[in-house]
Amino acid sequence: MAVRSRTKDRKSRHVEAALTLTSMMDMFTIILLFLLKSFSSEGEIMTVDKSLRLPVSISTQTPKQRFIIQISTNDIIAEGEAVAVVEDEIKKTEYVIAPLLEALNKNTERLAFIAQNNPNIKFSGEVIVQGDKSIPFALLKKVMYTCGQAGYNGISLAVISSE
Amino acid sequence: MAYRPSKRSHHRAEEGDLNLTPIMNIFIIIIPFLLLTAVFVKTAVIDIYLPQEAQGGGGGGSSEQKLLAIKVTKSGFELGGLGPGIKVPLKDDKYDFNGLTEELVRLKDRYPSQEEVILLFDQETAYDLVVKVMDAARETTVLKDEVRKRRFLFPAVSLGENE
Repeated sequence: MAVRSRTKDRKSRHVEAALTLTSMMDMFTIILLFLLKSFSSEGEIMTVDKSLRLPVSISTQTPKQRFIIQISTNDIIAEGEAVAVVEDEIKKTEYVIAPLLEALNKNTERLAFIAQNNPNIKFSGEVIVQGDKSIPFALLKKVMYTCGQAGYNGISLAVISSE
Repeated sequence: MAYRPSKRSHHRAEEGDLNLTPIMNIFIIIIPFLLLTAVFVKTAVIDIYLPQEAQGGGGGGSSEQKLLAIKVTKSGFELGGLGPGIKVPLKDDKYDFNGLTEELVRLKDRYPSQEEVILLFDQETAYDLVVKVMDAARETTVLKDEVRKRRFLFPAVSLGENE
């Protein structure tokens, strides 16, 4: 018995060892399909700060490149630059957030300057507001009013699409 | 001379293994590329347009038109302006969005040309709730022939504050 098994061992050593790649191929195919499905050719137009928790909505409208106003729980940020502190602005009774208005007007001027040389660029008066879930409506209203005062009438609220 | 079946050809028929190496190479390159470009959290926007003051002349006729208003208070939703005043109270201490959708669908059936709605919120209403009510007012899904279909209710949303 022992002798026989030894001869068998010697025989099998000559057989080429092949990896069974079938299961790995299965896995790769599934991953590939999943990634292709979630592939978007546009890339991310709008970057959202990690500390900002956007509300969830059923809207599927895709964002465009616009002037971005972020309202976090601490600061109001216009195009990456902190312009006002949330707490102070909530306490104030006036509707206009002065530093934000200034930032918006500066952007309008900048666009007007660019438009002198490049007629393709037009002032669209559109902004994207990225607000944190927990901000009160009063603050949102102030930001919207300020945008309106600066001539920005198209306001888009950034949300996370649930679909 | 009699043909003796060749040993080699017999052997080849036995193990019909595909050469998977090139496919594996492609997969290993494509998968990291797709992983980098994949967008897992999809952002979207909701457009709201502030009424423009300059357009006041043309809009004289439409201003007489009655507008639907949804008032969001601590005790629930109140619908007014269009049709009889309807109250949708809280259900189990939560806002009854299903009830609101039902009432809105009924109103839309009665006034199919009506597109606008004004949402009124308290000062301290959280932004999350604002977006949820906007979603409910803008559209709903209806079961038609066992397929879920989107139905627009009042897509032109404007925001206001509770007096």
